[in-house]
Amino acid sequence: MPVIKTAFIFPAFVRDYQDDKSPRIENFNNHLNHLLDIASRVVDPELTYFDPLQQDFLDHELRTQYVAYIYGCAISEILQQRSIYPDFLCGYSMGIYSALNQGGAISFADGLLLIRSAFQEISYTTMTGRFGMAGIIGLTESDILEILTFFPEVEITNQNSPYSFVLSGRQSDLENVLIKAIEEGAFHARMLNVTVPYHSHFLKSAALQFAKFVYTLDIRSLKIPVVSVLSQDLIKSPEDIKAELVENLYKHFNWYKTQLKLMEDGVTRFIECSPGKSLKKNARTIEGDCQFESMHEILSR
Amino acid sequence: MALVTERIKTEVKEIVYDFFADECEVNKSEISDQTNIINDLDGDSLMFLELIEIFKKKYALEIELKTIGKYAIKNPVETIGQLIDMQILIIEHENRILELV
Repeated sequence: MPVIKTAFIFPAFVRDYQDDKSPRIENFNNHLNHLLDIASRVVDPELTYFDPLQQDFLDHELRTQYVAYIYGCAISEILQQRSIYPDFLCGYSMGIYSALNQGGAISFADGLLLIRSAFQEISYTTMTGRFGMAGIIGLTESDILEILTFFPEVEITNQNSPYSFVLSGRQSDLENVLIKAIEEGAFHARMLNVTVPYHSHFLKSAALQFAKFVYTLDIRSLKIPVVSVLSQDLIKSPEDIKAELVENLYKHFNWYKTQLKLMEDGVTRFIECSPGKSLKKNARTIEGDCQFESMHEILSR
Repeated sequence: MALVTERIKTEVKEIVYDFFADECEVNKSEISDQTNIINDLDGDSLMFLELIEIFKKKYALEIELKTIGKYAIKNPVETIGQLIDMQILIIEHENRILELV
């Protein structure tokens, strides 16, 4: 029998709670509420009132990150209680905090404080302009790079699949890039619901400030391997983790290559630890013998 | 230009129906040519992309995705029936589909 290797994958944000059937899932709600309670004491009292059925916090850029982190940790822990263990962990963009917590490198509270610190530094850095991110589906990287020759400050900051890319930059530039992308034959080109140009050079100074906080934390060695979305290598030592946390703010990442690398390493089962299924949807065009499952599919069995 | 036979048309329809039934977790009998892909099935552009890749492989099509995108701007697809019609045109005309616009 071939060995099935499993990766738990964690998104950065929550887009919706449409796949959250947690009220039907024994134990899950209690654990989620327990973590929400801790989070409300550590970073934000409003988290106590979080209600997925009300689609809470989807437009609040910081709280949706907290919620994604809390869900990620809660789901991963419940899965492990059910004897479903990850061989690898991987966080999409700011999903790194859940991955590092579940890998044993940072405490739950420190994960929340990292999210808050990163967001605060980013907010200071970007308060003088209007920034954002955009998604383009249906063009190749070279098609997009050709468009970007006219918009030198816009960067491709992530690749989700061979024909799906994420860009960061100033909002006005991105809006013009999207118009050009549609003219060039993109199936889909739209602004994302964020006001921060994550993973771009605009955040380098924020990352340097964030580093001051990162280096005060007690970061431990990983007990479960975490794969870097920046380099696709395993993150090894606490020093590597610190560097990864800082660079994750302003360096490009490649989700597509990361998934392929995990598959090369024998992963055939990806479990999305989130209330939605955005990463599962993203994986549609991934070729190979692997399956992507959402929280609901696993926990409702 | 490929000849699209009735058999191929039936095959295309079958693939499209099976694909959306599977991806959108709905019963195939709930889908018709009038079904709106976004409103009724919660479909998205990644599904469209995946479906095109399936057809490109199955029929060894020589067509760039952006050519299909340019065609779709002028001939927007909203329903399953419109998608099937466009797919048949793609098989028939491949990269020359833009000449139809």
